[in-house]
Amino acid sequence: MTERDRDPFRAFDERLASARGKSGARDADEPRRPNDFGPGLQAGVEIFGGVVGGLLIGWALDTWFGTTPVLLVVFFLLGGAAGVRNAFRTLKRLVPDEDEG
Amino acid sequence: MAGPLEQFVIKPIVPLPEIAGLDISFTNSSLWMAFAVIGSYALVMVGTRHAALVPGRMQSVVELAYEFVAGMVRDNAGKEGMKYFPLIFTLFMFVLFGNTLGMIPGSFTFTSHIIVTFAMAICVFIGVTVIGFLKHGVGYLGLFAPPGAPKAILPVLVPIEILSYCVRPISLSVRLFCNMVAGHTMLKVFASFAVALGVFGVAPLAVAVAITGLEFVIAFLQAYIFTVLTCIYLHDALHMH
Repeated sequence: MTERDRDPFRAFDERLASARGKSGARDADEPRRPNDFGPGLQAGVEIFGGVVGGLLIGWALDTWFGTTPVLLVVFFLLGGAAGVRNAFRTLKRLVPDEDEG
Repeated sequence: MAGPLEQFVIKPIVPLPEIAGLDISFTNSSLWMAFAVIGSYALVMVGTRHAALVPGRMQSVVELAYEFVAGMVRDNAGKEGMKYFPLIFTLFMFVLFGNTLGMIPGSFTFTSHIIVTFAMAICVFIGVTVIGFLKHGVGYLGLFAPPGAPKAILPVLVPIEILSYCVRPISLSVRLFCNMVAGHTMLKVFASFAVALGVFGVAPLAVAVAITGLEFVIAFLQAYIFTVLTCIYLHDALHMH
């Protein structure tokens, strides 16, 4: 391809860039500012799921072994910890690490 | 006027006799599930019937959906995950159609029932666990002991890790169910305000219109999140860490 053939493309790129600048449209490659609401909500669901799961398992084991309410309390705490662990994993995945980036 | 939660009531359409104490009637929920299956099947069938090098409208939609899910599986579950692509694509289309069909006025959103989403989540959970054990044998249990953790804290860490693995289907199903219920209830509440306030109902009506747009985004987003999480769980089963 000669230099002259490429010129129309460059002219088009410039026109496209100026049109984009006017309309405020973004380039697809431009990094998008992450929305912090979504990840927060997702992490919240993880904690909720952990606590509810822990309570369910604790309650089921309690009725099975007849140890009410010892296992309920234990699994409530463990479930909360598991929920936080899952929430941490979710956030690590969704929110890019600023130290590494 | 119907209350905001009445839209979630399950009504039998074709009553069937109980089998072993289970009500197996064909309900409005079953009807819309059937619509979702037929709809997604028809979309793919019509889109691929006249496969052309330069795709037409329907073919473009199908190819877009395929590329989207394929990219998702490859990015999140790795190349090996492509073996399970049919399942994940089906899951995505089913949830997506369930969510978007629910946006038709007067329809029924089956993804707004925790038992539906939980059934899907528990299937994913069991399937992924079976894949993990088939692939790694007993070594799959190593997933619960993160590498590099000091031995002293393992007695505390391992139960937490096991529990955090077991509660996955709960958070997976609750997320989808909560989003659908919250959105549809909110729509109904604002719509009833619009009726009750007469002339001043214009304000809640405008909000209801805005929420309708938001609901379409959420319908797609929740289908996407459900599928992405499935891929991530699959990745854990295939590659462990």
